[in-house]
Amino acid sequence: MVEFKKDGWRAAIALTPMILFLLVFTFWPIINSVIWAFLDDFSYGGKAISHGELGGYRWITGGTFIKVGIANFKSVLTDQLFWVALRNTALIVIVSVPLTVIIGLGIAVGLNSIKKFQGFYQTVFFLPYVTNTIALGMVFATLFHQNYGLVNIVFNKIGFAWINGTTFTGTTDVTLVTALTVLTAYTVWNGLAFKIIVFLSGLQNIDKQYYQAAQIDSASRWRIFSKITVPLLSPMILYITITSFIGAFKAYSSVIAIFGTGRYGPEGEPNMLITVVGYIYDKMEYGGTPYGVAAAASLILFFIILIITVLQLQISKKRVHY
Amino acid sequence: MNRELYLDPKELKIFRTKQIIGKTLLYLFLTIMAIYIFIPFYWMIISSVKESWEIESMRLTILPVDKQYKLLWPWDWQWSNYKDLLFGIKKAEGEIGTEWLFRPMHFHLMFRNTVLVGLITTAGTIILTILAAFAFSRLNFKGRDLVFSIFLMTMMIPGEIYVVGNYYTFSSLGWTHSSNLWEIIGTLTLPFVGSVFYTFFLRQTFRQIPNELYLAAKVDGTTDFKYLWKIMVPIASATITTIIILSMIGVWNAFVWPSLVTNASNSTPDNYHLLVSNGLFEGLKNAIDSSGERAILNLQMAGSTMVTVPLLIVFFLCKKYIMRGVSRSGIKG
Amino acid sequence: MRKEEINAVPENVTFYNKVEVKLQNLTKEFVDKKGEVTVAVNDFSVTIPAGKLIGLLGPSGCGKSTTLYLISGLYKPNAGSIYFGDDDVTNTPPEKRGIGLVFQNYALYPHMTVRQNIVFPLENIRVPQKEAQIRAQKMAELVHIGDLMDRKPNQLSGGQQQRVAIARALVKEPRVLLLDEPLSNLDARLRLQTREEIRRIQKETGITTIFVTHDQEEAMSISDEIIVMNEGIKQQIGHPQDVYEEPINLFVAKFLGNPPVNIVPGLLTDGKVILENGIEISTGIDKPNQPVDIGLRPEYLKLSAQGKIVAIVDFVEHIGRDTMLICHLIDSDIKIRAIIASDRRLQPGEQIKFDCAKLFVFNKTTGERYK
Repeated sequence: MVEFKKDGWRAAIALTPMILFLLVFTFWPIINSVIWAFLDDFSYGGKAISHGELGGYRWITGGTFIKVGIANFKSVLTDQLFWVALRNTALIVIVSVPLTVIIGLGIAVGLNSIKKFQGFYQTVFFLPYVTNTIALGMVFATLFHQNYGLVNIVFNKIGFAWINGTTFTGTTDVTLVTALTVLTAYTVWNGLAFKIIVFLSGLQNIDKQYYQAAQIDSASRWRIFSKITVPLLSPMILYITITSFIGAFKAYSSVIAIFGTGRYGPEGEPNMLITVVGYIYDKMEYGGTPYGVAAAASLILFFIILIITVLQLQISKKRVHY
Repeated sequence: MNRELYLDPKELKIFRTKQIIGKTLLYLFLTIMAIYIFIPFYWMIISSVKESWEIESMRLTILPVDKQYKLLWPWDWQWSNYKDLLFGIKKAEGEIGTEWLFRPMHFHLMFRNTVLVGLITTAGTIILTILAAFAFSRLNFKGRDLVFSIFLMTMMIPGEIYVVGNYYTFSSLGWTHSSNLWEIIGTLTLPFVGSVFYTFFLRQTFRQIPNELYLAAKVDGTTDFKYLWKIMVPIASATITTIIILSMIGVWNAFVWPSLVTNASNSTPDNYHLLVSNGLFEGLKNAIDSSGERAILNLQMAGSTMVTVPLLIVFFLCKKYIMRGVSRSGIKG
Repeated sequence: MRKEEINAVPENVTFYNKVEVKLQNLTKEFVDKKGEVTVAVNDFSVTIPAGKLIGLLGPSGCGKSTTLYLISGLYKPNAGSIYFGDDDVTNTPPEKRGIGLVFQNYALYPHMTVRQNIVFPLENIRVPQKEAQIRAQKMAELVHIGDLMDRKPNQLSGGQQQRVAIARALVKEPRVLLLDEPLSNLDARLRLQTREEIRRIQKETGITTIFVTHDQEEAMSISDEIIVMNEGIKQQIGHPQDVYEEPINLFVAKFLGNPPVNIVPGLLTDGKVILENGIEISTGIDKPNQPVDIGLRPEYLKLSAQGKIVAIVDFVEHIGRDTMLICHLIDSDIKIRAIIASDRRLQPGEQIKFDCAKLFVFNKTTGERYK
């Protein structure tokens, strides 16, 4: 910037709207969440909120609560359901993230090496990005149905019966494993689009001259890939990995979409595949002390995500080159 | 990289064969993955015009068939599914229970609501984002970098945390589960109008506009805000278009927040509340379990198709913007 | 690698196999998407002596970079052959030819340190780590970046980056070193320094070196020989001063020399050239009478009371060391430039007389020079 005068007041005008909205709908709720998490037995005056009442809650204090404490956290951490949710979420993360990232990278590298039909394939792979989660979730449920699902029929014909039992009717043929498989298939399907396109543009942005120089330096195909392509791509890989982990921890609507019952499992086991986010929402709508417990649970989730992200950043320091 | 330029005929043959095998495997891999991506779409669309017995049959039918498993002509396909979807199926006379075997789904209302919410949210987002991105990219003020860093940090916080707080805010206003149109619209749009991600994205684009342009306009006596709207915005129109498209797609896909704050249900007479995802879900959930489930699967597929196809059409029209925009936002990240 | 070990190695490295590079009838065509064919290099034949620093000079698009890439092996010629010494390398891939190439943008691997960049080619041919490190260090000392080994390319200046690129090219002890426009990315001050560096490195190693440039002053200043190219065709090859003083055609005469040579139309009649305004100068040329182009280098025009070339001064430019006069020939519109010593102060409008120590006579159609 050449000029040195302060744009203070102009900036204020320009930024105020955005900051206002962010304050009200982002910062404020975060602060509130943090506070409620620490208020024991925080309830909203014990009565249901009805239309038109402001209920006497004035910003920070109000409503009734017993004392400040960690009862909410205790309640969450001793809740068996929460651990089920955590386990499920962890499984989803561990299984689907590496799978999606590696397949995505493989497809991107493959796409980068072909000239014919590259545009066509790119479009096909991008389609899932513009689909509606609920709509396609139902489709996947149908595809994997035990009796008439396309997948089961095809695999039965070949002799595999490994998706048997993925029925979402009241039968107990559904197990955690089968449900997880279907969910993974769906999550991978959904997740590839974004990753492929980011990897692909990263690959295409690598200057051809590096490859020429490497050729003159007698580098083999593999060495070029491992010593040049991957390091130059590493910022993208890191970004994708971090965002994939964060996204996988927030799994919720895909589970709802697949089961189609409004819950996280078949009729008999409505909480089979409950996720942490699902737990939070349940506590909000149905729990006895809605906000406190839900807030506590969401803080715990945030913490877990934060730790994982920081870990990833630490690990990546040595390996990522900008 | 033309290694093969230098091989002698014998080596060349081996090389070419390896190359052909390699290329074939590659195309095979890509094609298999493409099929994996494509099958759900195909299955969804083709099942939407089948009869339910056919979907449930153990035999795989790639195109709709009649009871003798002979292929049907397109005009014999079960287009009535769509009619049933929109108008419902009434139970036969004399049957007990509620009147409907399947409630009509008001897709026109769902679409209308979604588009309405989308337009409002997007309009608000665009204005706020342009102003904020302008401030961060071109204006000099104390604490600019500090405020921007704070913005960046919020990008890393998962949305679920402020859901609780936002729910609280709106419910204390009494706007949740309300039947007042404006309150519902407010609940559905306001939390999403402020977006740090889009601000970051647009700021990057604004920064690429050369400083000289600004100085030249200054010399011509242009005020800062006029410069913003008359020069910067048109130059950045590609990015802005991408933001608009992504924002609209986001609303189309919204499910969680609307289901929390509205009375999304098929049976309320005034269906202001339904967005596409919720309407679809409410209308078709438990579809497998309800008695008379036989009639539902194909309707499920038809419903999914109704929801997905408009989006696909939009995608094919704006393909370039969407794909390029998404990849650029990924790189900046 | 202990520091003492590295420093124990002597600095001079002169054990390169110098080879002569011979290009025979080299032709390279490019076909674009529409099917149009561009001939970038046309039947190019030249013998480049071993151990010399050769400048490949020409305007943009003349095919010099293409020729360089042909020598490197990144391009394959459509016709012709390339010899390194007695080896026919026309069908040898670049990594097997024994060449080192320095790209115009250096192409240093940005994510590797300087050390890793230089060691990379050795690792690829399975040189043991210990030896590779020693050789890399030696090379770095040669190009004077020995103390920057652990930096990344983006922490280096342009000149330093280029030296790393040179070190990387030389570390595998190639037979030929190729440089693509080595000085064009540097600022003016650095160019002077760097071209002398290139000269020094070439002298110390003795490797046959070919570099490409469009700047004739650069080419002339450090090359043992220059090759002038235009439109894919070799124009002239020789010692820079020889090419300057005895250009073989109009193009070469015009391309070399700053300020450029004055070209004046005239008529060759019975061994004399007659200018538009009637001035006659005798030459010794024995060719049929024809219209010709006459070349007069600005510095060959000497002020003289008996000079035949009469002109009127339009502008005077004092450039410190010399004075440049922009004049027009008397009774004519033809403009010429002359460089004279600064002791004469002249005014616009004055009439002056020149003697021409030497002139070039060119065939008007082919540009060929008559002697």
